[in-house]
Amino acid sequence: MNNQEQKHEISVQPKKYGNAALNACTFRVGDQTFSIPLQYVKEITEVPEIFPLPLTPPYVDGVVHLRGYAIPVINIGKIKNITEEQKKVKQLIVLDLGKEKFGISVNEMPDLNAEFSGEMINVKNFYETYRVAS
Amino acid sequence: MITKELLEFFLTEAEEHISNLEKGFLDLEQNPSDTTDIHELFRTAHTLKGAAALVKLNTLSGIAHIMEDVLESVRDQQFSITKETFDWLLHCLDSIKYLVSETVNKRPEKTELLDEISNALPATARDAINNHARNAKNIISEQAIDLDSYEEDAKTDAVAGEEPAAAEESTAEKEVIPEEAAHQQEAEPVHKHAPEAHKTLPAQSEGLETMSTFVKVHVDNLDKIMGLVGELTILKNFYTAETDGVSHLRNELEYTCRRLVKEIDDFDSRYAQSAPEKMSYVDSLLEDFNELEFDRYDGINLFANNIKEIMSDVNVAVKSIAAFFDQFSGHTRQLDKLNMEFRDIISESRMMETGKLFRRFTRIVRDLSKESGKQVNFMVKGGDTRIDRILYERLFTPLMHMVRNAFSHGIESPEDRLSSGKPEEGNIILSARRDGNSVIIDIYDDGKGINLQQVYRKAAMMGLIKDGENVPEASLLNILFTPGFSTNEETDMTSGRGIGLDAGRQIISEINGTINIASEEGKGTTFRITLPLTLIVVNTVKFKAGGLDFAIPSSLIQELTDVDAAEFENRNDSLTLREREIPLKDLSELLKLKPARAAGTRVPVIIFNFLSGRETALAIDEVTGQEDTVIKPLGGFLEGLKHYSGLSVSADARFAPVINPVGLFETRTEDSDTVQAQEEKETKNNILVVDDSLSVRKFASIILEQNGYNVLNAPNGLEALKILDENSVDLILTDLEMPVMHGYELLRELKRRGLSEVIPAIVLSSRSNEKHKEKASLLGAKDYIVKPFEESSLIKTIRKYLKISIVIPAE
Repeated sequence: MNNQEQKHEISVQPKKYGNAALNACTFRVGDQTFSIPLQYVKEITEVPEIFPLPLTPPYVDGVVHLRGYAIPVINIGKIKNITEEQKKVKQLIVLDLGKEKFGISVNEMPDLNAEFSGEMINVKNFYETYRVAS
Repeated sequence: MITKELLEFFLTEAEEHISNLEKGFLDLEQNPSDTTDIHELFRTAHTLKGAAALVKLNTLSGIAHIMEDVLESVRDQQFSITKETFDWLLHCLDSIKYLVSETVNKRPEKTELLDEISNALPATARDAINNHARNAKNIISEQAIDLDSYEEDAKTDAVAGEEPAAAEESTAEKEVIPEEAAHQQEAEPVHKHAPEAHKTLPAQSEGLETMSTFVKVHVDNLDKIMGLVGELTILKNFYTAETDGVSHLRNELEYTCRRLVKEIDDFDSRYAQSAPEKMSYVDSLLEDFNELEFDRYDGINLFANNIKEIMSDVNVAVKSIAAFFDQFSGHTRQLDKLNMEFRDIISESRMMETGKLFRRFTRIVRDLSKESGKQVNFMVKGGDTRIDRILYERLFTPLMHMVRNAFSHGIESPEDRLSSGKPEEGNIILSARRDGNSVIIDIYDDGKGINLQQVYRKAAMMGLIKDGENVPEASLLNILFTPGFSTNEETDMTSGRGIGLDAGRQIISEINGTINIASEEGKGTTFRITLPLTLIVVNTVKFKAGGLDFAIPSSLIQELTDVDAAEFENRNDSLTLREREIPLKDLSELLKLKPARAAGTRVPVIIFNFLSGRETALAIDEVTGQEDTVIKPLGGFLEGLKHYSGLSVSADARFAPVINPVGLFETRTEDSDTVQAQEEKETKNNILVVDDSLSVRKFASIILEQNGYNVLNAPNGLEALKILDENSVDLILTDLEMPVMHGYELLRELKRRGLSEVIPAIVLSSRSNEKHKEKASLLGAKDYIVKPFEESSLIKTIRKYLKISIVIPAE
C-alpha cells in the first residue's frame, strides 16, 4: 500500500482509529523516518512558491505565503545531513506553536498514525534550536 | 477564578488609570491651588481600587484605597496638599506600577508594600484622614451599623454619600445587589457600605455612559482584521487582473464575431450576384438545370441565412456579456475603493496619540531634575499627532535614551546657564507633527549643544576618521551613532550617550525610521526622528539583486543613481559622486548571491545617508518599480535576521524581503557564524526539576547550574506539565511523591503525550524499593536515582541521557 492510499483510508474511515488515537504525523526524508506529535500539525499542504531569503542558515529554504501568513520553510534533510534524490518538493507540514508557525518541507506525502515511529521531533525544542534568534 | 482575560483587561485598564493619575498629580503639583481635577483623580483611584479588588490584587487595591482617602481629604478641603504628600502619592504610583509589573510577570503580590506605604504617609495627611473618618463615623454610629467589618469603607463612603454623584453610585449598587442594598436600607437609608469587591459596580456603571461610543478591542483582533484586509486586497487584485484578461477575451470574441458576420455577408452577396450570371449562361433548353441550380442556391442561401441569424443571436449575447463586464469592472473598481477605505479605517483605529507617550516623560524629567538639581521645563507639542500602535510601543525606549541624553548632556547646570546668559531653567521640548506620509518627532533641548571638536578628536582616536581629514559637520554628528561611541568620558548613570544613541538608532531602523541630529554649540541640540505613518502600508522601491526581488522603504533612500560599468568594476569599494567619496557595497555580494547584471550596462546604486556617520552606497542589479505594499514582520522564527525588516507583499501576493540597511551593514556577513551560534546554543540544555521540597529543588539547581545546565523548577506534576508547555526541556528529574499530581501520573502523562522518548525522565526518589523502580520504568522513566544522591552520580546519569537525546544529534 503506498502512502497516498493510506492517507485516503484514514480520511474515509476516521472511526477506525478514533480521533484521539491519531498521535503522530510521520514522514520520510531520504531513507529516514520522522514523527511529529499531531497536536502541533496545523495543516499539510502543497508547497506554494518559496521565496528565498539570502543570508540565512542553509536549512532555511525561504518563506511561503500561506493565506496571509509568512511561513518559514525548513529543510530537515539539510539539518540531518540526509542527501536525497532532489525531487521537486511537494508537501509542506505547517507546525503551529501558538504564536509562531513554521513549516517543514517533505518530498513524500506524510502519514497520520496512532503510533510514533522513527525519530521523534520535539517541536518546541526544534523551534528553539533552529530558529534564527537575535 | 480569575481568568487570564480578566487579568488582561485589568492590566490595560490599570495602565490608563496610572497614567492619568500620574499626569494629574504632576499638574496638581504645578498648580496646587487648582483643585478642579481632584475629583477626577479621586474617582480614578477609586476605580483602580475596585478593579484591582475584582482580580484579587488586594495589596494594589489597598494602596489605591489609601490614595483615595488622601485625595478625598484634599478634595473636601480637609488639608492642602504638601510637597511631601506629592512625593508620597508618586511613591504610591511607583509601588502600584511595581505590583502591576509583578503581576505581568506572574509573581504574587508583595503584601508588605501596603504597610510600607501606609507608614510612609505624611503625618499631616494622616491627621486629615482620621478627622475625616471620625466625622464620618459620627454620622454613621447613630445608625448602629457593624463598623468592624466595614470600617475602612466607612471612611470613604460615608462622606462620599453626601455627594450627589456618589448617591447615584449607591443607587446603582442598590439595583445590582438587592440583598446588600436591602440590608443597608434597613440600617441606614443615606449612607451606603458595600463590601470592597462590590465597589467595581459603580465604576462599571460610570463606564456605561461612554460605552456607547467606545469599545475596547484587543490589538490582536485589530491585527487579525488587518490581516483579513490584506487578504481581501490580494483577492481583489486577482479579480482586477482577471477582469482585464476577460475583457481582452471579450474583445477577441467580438472581433471574431464581426469577422464571421462579414464572411457570411460576403458569401451571401457573392451568391446573390453569381446566381443571375449563371442564369444568363444557360439557354431556355436547360431550364430544368436552372431549376436545379436554383434549388441548390436556395439550400445554400438558406444555410447562409440561418448562420446569419445565429450570428446575430451570438452578437446579442456577446453584447450583453460586454455590458455585464462593463458593469462588473465598474463594481471591481468600487470594491477597490471600498477596500482602500476599509484599510484606512482599520489602520486609523490602530493609531494612538503621541501625547500619551510623551506624557510618560513628564515624570522621568521631574525625577531627573530632582536628582541632579538641574532645572528643566519639559514641554510637549503636537501631542494629538497619531501614530501606529506598533511604532508607539517601539518608540518609548529610543525616546527615553534621547530625553535622558538631552537632560544629562544637553542641559547645563543652573550656574553654567546663568553665566552663559541663559535663563536658569532649561527647556526640553518633545514635539510631533505629521508630514505627508511621515511623522516627525523632534527632541529639542536648549542646552550646550554638541562640541564638534570633541567629537572629531574622539573619532580620530577611535580610528573612525583620519586625523586631519576634512569631515563635514553632518557626518561628524552622525558619528555619534557609531556603536560604542561616547563623547562623555565620565559616563554617568543617567545615560551612556554612545550606547543609548546606537541602540535607539537600531530600534528606529527596524521600524523603517531614520534619525538625524542638528546642533548648534551653545544654543542647543535637536534629534529628529522620521517615521512612516504606519507600518502596514509602506511605499517601497522594488529592485532585483542576484536575480531575486527585494524591496526597501523609499523613506530610507536619499538618492537613486547609477555608475558606469567599467568604473564599477574598478570601484575599490567606494564611489565618487559630486566630488564626494562614498563607500560602495554590492548587495549581491553582501548576500552571497551572484549578480545578474548585463555586461556593459550602467550599474544602479542606492544611496543612504544615515549609516555610521557617512553616506553609504549599495549597488543593485535593477530597479523594478515603486509600490505601496503591505509589510509583514518576519515572525519569531526568523527574527534574528537583522538585515531584513520584514517581507513586502506585492499586489500579486509575492513576498520580497525588505532590506534594513542599518542591519545589513552591521551584520557580519558570514553565514557560517550563524550556524556556529546555533550549535553553541544547543550545548546549554534545559533540565526540569520536579520536587515538592524546595530544598531538593535548590540543591539540584545549584549542582546542575554549576555543571552548565539551565534549570527549571516545578513543585508538582501539574506545574511541570505547564512548564513543558511553555519551554523547551531536554531532561526531567522528578520526585515520585508530590501533592496535586504525583510522579507516576506525570510519567504517565508524558508517555501519553509521546514525550517519554523525546525528553528523558529520571526519577529522584527516597523509595529504594524495586517495586517502585519497576513501575517507574514501566511508565517510561529512563533511570532511577535514590535520594540522598551524590553530585557525581547525578551528573553522570544526566550526561548519559542527554548525550543520546535523539532530538538534537550532535553533528
